Amino acid sequence: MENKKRAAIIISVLIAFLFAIDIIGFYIAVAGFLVGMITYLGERRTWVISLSVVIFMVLSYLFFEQGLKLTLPRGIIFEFYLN
Amino acid sequence: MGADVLAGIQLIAEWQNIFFIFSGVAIGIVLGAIPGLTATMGIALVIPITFYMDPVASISMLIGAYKGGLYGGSISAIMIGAPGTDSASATVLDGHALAKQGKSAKALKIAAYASVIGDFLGMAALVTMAPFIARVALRIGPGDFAMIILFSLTIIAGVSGESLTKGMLACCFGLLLGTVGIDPIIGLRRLTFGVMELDNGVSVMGLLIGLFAIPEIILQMESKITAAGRLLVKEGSPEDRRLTWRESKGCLRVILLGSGIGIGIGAIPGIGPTVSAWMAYGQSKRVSKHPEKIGHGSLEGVAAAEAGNNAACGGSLIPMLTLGVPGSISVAILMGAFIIQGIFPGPMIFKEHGPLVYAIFAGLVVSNIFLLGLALLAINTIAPYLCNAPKKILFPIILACCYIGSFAVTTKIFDVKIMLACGILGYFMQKTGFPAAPLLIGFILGPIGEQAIRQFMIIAENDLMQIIYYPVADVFILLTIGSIIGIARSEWKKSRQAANRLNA
Repeated sequence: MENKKRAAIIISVLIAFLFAIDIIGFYIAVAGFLVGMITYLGERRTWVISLSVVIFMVLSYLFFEQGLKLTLPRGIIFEFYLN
Repeated sequence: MGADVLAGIQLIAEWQNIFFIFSGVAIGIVLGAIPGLTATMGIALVIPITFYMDPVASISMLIGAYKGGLYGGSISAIMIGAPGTDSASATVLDGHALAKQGKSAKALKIAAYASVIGDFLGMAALVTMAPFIARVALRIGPGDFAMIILFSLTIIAGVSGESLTKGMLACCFGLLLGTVGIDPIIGLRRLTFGVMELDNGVSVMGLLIGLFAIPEIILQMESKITAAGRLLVKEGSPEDRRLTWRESKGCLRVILLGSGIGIGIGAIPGIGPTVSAWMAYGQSKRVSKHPEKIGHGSLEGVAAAEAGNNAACGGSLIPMLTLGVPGSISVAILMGAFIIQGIFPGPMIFKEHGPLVYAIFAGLVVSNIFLLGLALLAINTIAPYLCNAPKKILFPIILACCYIGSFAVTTKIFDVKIMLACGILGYFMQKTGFPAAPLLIGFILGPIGEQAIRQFMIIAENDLMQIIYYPVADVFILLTIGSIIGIARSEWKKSRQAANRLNA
């Protein structure tokens, strides 16, 4: 029962994350997703959480945007204001 | 052929390719060693990174990751007694017993040597046999090919796990998913429901990542995360750490036996490295000089299991490269990677992409050398940390990687949606006991088989019975019937045994 509840929460968060990427863009969405998930799994040290999130975001920026020359989704809202 | 070999070696010798193989092996070892992240998942996660590389680099890196993962699994099997990858489950018995005696470094070293020797022999079998089989296979036409595909669909029996019915249902669903998109011969839209993005079919990448990475992570996250096992920090005396020449020579017999079993088992479609590791382990008692020690901390036990699972890697590439039949789950994923690159494995690959195939063979040699170096390096440096990697942070990051990975290939959000849909589907399939591997095999083989049978129908002017004039096709029809009878008999035996147990 406990497991089912946790699974339901995790799956809902995964779906919400997908729509968040579309709306507010990858970087903001992933920061929110990672902080939320890591906290949910029981890590409480703030510096550990923030450090891993920042490292992940910097690495994915360097690898995908600089290395592979892709544009990770900016989100509908920001595309609207940027153009 | 000689020119192809030279061109292949030239291709692989570029420094970028060498670097990618190196990183593939390193990533494989790291992912394989972390309990909960399997070698299979490792390949699924590496595919998006390799998408933008040229085929040689991409395939060699993936095979490197696969091999690294097979060895990496033994690190946590030995140090904490929980296999990092399914195929290392046979390594746990003796490996962990050795670690309890303070001999974990020794066990890891013999595991590394056994893995590399097994790999090398598996690769030698691949390189010598594959071109030969492919030359024979080149003479076959679309009708024969369709029957080969039909036969290989019966291999789902091997990857179905507990219930054959559920495996067959999953395979049928995979076949159905494979038909989505524009019809290959007459160009009609099928099962797209008016969704434009589905015209090109369900994306292979989304399906791979969704089915083989997401469900596993959700399953592990839903139960409270605890350490996989206690890390044994007991350090033995220098003698316990060193692997002497005599000890390794004593293991050579079981390593050779394990490699032989691995190659044979790996080459049979449907049976993967896990089964071959257990079989090699079981048989090692027969040739061992100290059979009573096996199971209680014997180097031979570790060596046999590791040689068995790594040799299966080379063996399972034989049917994939020559006939286009994926032998195990990991190889089915590798085949997906080939298809993403626009290369269809099968007999034609040696003719159309000769230099590529020989470059991959050469890449296998290079990855072997890296595997040995990195494996020995990892033992004294990062091995203990990998076993206790912080999962609370790792799992969310891997989930985020799944999103980026499925986005990176086509840069369309739609593929991420497919990935997530497959992930949730895969989770419920696991919960209800439906295996994911048959779905993938149906999805990959379906379209290839469809194309072959429809080409044949055009040649035969819509008369299916003309297939009997093709001897190779006949052989495979008989093999298919035989294999179905065999499966039915073993299922019948199983159900009778179960009934007897209930009565007793």
